[in-house]
Amino acid sequence: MSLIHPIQDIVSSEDGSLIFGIIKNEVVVFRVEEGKSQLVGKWVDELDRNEVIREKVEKEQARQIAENITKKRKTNDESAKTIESENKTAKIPTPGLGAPTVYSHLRNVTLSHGEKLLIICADSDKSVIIFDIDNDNKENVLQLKKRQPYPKRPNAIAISDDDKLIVIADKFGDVYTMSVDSDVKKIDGNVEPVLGHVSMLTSIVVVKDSENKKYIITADRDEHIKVTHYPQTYIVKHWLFGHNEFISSLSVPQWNKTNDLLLSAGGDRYLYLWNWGKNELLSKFNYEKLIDKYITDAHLASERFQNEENNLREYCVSKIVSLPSNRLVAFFVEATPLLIILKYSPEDNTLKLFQTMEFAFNIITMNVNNNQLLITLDNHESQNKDFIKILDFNENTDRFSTNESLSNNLDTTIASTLIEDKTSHIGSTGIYPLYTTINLKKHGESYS
Amino acid sequence: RAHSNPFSDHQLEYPEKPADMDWSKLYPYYYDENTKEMTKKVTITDIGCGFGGLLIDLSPEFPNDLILGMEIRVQVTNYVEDRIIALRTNNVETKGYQNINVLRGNAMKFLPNFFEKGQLSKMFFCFPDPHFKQRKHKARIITNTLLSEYAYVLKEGGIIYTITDVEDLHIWMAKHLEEHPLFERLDETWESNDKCVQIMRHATEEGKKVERKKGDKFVACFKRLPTPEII
Repeated sequence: MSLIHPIQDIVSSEDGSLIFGIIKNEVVVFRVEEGKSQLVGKWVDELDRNEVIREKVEKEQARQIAENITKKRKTNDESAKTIESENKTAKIPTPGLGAPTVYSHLRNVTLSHGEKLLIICADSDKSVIIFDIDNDNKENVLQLKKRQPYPKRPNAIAISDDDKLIVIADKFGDVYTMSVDSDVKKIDGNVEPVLGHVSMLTSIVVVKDSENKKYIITADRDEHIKVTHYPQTYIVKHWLFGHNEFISSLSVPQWNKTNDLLLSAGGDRYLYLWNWGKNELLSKFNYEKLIDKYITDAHLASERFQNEENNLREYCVSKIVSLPSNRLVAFFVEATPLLIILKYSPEDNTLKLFQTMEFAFNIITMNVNNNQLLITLDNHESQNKDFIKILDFNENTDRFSTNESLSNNLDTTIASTLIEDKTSHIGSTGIYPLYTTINLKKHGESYS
Repeated sequence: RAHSNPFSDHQLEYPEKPADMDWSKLYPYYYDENTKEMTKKVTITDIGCGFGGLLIDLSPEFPNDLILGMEIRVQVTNYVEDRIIALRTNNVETKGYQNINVLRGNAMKFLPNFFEKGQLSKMFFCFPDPHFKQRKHKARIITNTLLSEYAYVLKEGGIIYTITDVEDLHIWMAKHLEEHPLFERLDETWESNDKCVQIMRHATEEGKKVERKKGDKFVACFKRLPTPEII
């Protein structure tokens, strides 16, 4: 039996009627009605990375030839003409034996606030891709609107609350803004970022304070969270200092109507709770004991960084989301099956344990809509079951529980509709790397 | 080594936040044993201070300021440390050179870990690494994104000094500073009346080297403008 690849990223419309999932280099869309689901859209990133590389190599070759000619002209070298006339074809480098597999990931699936647009980032050409969501289209609800490549890989994105502007944080630490409706343009050294860190950016949020002033909050691999004014992005408000390890995830809780709270986590053993406007660390929640028994040999540090006893384990928070109501926050530690839900207590500004839920497989990612938590699992050992778990909040028990019938229905729909779709299968490249957040950990280069 | 990659994860020591920085080890003369606090804060920095020539010449000119050199290369930092220890030992009677010191660090990444908002009055960037290749331009010490961070640690009216013997880099630095809304270029009259400009032209080892080779030196200085009203 062909195995369908686990779902790497997920987002849902607020009412839960549309669910968008990323499988390898493919987006799939499911419509949920009265507990039943169907596939209503699909898009595959078919861009050949070799073509992108070829373009780059050819451009560099042209530049080098031009440079050589200018040099030789300066020294009145006759061979300048010969260089010009020689027209070599550019050599495209091919990975040698043992070279790591290159994956064409899609990332950061984001739904605009008005739910008219879907935004994703593609590794293949380091682009931000925008789709119109056309609910009336019976063939495919996803209609490609725009594909804008960037010089460095977009690592995190946010969208302004009027859905007009996309804010893009890249792997090199720079932040660019892009108008949703603008034409695709060439972004090179002449396009200046609006702000930047000298470190890989991992998370970005755009937020308004109680006086309606806008800010961009960015987090990086160097423990830094920076609060910058918007649109005056040349004015840094301040840094939120307190992390000692990389930051992987930020979240501004929706239930906090004054918008002054921020959650952050990553390689530290704590979830941090801030008043970001006042630059106050309100409290930290230590999750070490909760997660201890789920930290296994799968978390052993790579050989390069291993200790003499060979027992150094490294783990981190992969993602935090805040739930729409009840002052709840959910997060999980990478490569564990445990979902941890905390409740904010406004009396003393702390986070307290509310609920934990253990799943049959490791959690890959999660997201929320108005009423539900959506969890995707590393189900490659389950014969095309357990792709997704939908959790409902039960008012009677005051706790979350798995909506078994809807989750099973979605699993069945995924298995039956994608079984003929080879793109979505675990193929010769195997499973895409699902646990990459821990790679953000710094180990220090002691020799330099 | 002549260069160091500012993007690497060096094994660096830096405080979690400015308040955690123990300055007493660098400037013991300005540490008050009774209050357990520093009597002064660092107000002048030389980013990429190299062999420390500028620090040493600035020291007697600014006896009321603490001056810090930041350098990313370990060996060079050790050399400057030794140099300052020797100068302090040789000038015990006059308490000379107590107001300068050097720190190994990556200013492009961790400057805000050391300094509070508006703490600095002068920042020097003398003969920075030119990073000629276009794709290396993000490694330059003056970029529009880093300038916003320098503007944060500089007080209003504070000065950024730049000097280089590479004309392309000079044009690049001046362009980015001129385009940044929080900086304004100071004119040649100002430059010729400023003692730091004179020191910067002649004090640094790089400056002397350029002089020996009879090369050009390009200077540009900028004032930190008041932060405009937030819209």
